[in-house]
Amino acid sequence: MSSGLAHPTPFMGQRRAATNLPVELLEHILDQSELTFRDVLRCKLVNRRLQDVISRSLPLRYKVELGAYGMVDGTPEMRARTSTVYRMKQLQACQESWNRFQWTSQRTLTFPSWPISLLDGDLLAMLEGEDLKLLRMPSKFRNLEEDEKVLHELALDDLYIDKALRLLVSIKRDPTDEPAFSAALLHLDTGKAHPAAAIPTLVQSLTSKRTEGWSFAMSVTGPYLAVLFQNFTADYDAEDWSTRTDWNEQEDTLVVWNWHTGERMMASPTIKCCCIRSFIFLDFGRILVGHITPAPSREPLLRVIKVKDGDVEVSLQDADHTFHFPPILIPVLAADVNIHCEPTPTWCPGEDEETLFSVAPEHRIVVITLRATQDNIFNSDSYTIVVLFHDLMSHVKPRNSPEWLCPLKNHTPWPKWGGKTRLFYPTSAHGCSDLLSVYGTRFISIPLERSRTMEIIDFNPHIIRRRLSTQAEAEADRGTEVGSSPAPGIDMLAPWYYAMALPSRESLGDGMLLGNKPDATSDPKHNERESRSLIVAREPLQVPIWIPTEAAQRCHLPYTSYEIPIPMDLNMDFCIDVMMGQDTIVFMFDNEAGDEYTWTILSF
Amino acid sequence: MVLLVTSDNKNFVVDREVADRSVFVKNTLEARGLSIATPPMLNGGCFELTSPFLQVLEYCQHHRGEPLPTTDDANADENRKRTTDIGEWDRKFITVDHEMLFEIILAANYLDIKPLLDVGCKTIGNMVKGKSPEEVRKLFDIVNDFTPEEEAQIKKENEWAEDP
Repeated sequence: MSSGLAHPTPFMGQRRAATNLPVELLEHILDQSELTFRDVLRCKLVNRRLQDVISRSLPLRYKVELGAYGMVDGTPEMRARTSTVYRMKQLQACQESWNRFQWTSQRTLTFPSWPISLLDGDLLAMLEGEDLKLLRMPSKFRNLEEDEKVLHELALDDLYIDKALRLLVSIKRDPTDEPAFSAALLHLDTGKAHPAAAIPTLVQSLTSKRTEGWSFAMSVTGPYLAVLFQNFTADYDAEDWSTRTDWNEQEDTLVVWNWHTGERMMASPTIKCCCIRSFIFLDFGRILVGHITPAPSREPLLRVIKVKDGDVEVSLQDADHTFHFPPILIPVLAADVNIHCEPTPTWCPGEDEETLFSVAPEHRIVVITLRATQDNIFNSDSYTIVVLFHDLMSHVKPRNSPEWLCPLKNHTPWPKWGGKTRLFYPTSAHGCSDLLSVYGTRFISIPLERSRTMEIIDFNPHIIRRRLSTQAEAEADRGTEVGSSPAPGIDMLAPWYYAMALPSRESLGDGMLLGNKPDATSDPKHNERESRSLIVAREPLQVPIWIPTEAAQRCHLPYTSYEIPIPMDLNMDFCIDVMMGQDTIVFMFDNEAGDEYTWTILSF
Repeated sequence: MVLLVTSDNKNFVVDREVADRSVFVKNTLEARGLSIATPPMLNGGCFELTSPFLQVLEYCQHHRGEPLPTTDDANADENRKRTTDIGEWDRKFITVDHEMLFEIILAANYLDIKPLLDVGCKTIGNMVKGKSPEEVRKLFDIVNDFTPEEEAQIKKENEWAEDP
């Protein structure tokens, strides 16, 4: 019997082609982790059969949705425990609740004194006296219950937590004359020495005559713990920066340890005028540093430095890559360069993390605030620059590539990277303050000009483009011209400006998406809402502009803006800080007398 | 020893341990207490099976005795989907022409040899990764059966995902 004839098949007489495989196998192939959601979408264009398979497949549609929302699927355990249908539903509901600002639970905490605190994803750590309260935020969409735990007898000056590594770093000043600090490496569950740390306490002494006024910025990436020791006393004391001569007293020191072995990897030079203002880990071997060059130039820069093996001093002049900022118009003095990126670029959820999905690394934003002054720190302006992490990294040579090892240092001038950023002036509602918090592709800020609304800005490029194309389609269907030119009055710098304007939290049902083209036929009430949501862009500038307008006009990074009415029970006049995490926003308030602090925690 | 008969009536005598790599064969043998199985009968679908079957046998022989993935552990299933590494031997083994690759995948699917199915699917996944639709068509000899209008429509729907 010859093959094939006995069992006729639809594929007989034809070469076995990829797309003739059974549906479940095609689905299985496309659901491989190697293939991104983009690959899946491209395969829709191959032929009808693949298009059909992809359109009907729930796992593949979920993969595309995750990609669109800039999320990655949960841990294998969570995937095994829950169905794709369920995760898809929760993902969409979660996004929707953020976009409409419909939080699912609200909690208020009060403190008699300002607690040292930190929000890592959905874990909020607060130090009250010697008790460290760890609060795991509830999340309706990730099926997480609230969980509270207290670690007792922790005397510390500052802390850092890494939830995935179960690491708690507690910084304490040693009771000596010279400023020396110890960093205890503790386990988040027990409050005792972390078992992965060979040396439980790392010690660093600084060559400074200042014993008070130190603050600490910390970050952990894999085996590396970096601590930036900073002292702002001189900055605050200087009454007139233009005649200031005490630059030499700025003694920021960045120290990197391997916290597993206890070995000190490197320290920035303790030479004078080394002004490191902030840092983030770019990957498992490089650090992005916010730096201000020594006086008299005082130029703000972003610099990429390598984590060196062995206890060596590193000079910022040796930085492998330098990013320059826009030209500065009037004589101002850079006071601060802050880098915000949460979660850190290398972060991925811990193995036991109970999360259905989490922020993908791809489109995380890096927010840089530049602060400068003409006279003193209390009269300073700050500009906010937002860049997608991968756009920033596209300028930096890949690690371990032959080019990277080349001793020639690289510079990226502003025109080269500025085009893919978004620059907010101090006057815009969200460009003004240091009171901002970043998580994933979103950032929230407390506007300086107190208003009844605030904004959450989302830089996820897919959402914006997907919305735009849906809207263009809808307009085309109505036979109107596809809106391509921005309407007059709308921020001309933001061709893709969108606002989700909501009348109030109570009537969320009719919240609508407003495009960049006013629709004359729509309900006048909606027009009113639209104009209100765009007022921000029309306000005249009231503070000195030290970055030329042309420089900002070339910043085209699109974003979606969600304008949100502030709940009546929150008095934003007393809001002093905000923290955003995974499905959590914490607003921190003080009161008129300054004797009580209230935190309002919103969970989504 | 087990006698396996392919749908094109070729007989193969293999060790029980080798045959058990296929969950289908294993279950069939266990259920019926037989030592003869005629596995590769795809429902009405049959083709030159001898040569892919030889390949599959080679794979089973190489991996004989290794622990079988448990069938109903969804957790392990998920893990396998995510691990991107293909072993050195498997990589060489799966370097075959496309037609054979599809035959192996079909056979692995039918015979329920999950690790082999994964190796096959991952290999195709790696080929498709980063390719344009036209490149994918070329790679697997697929005919574009869209009308230009349909193609333009899907392109438009997909636009948001591509970098401008």
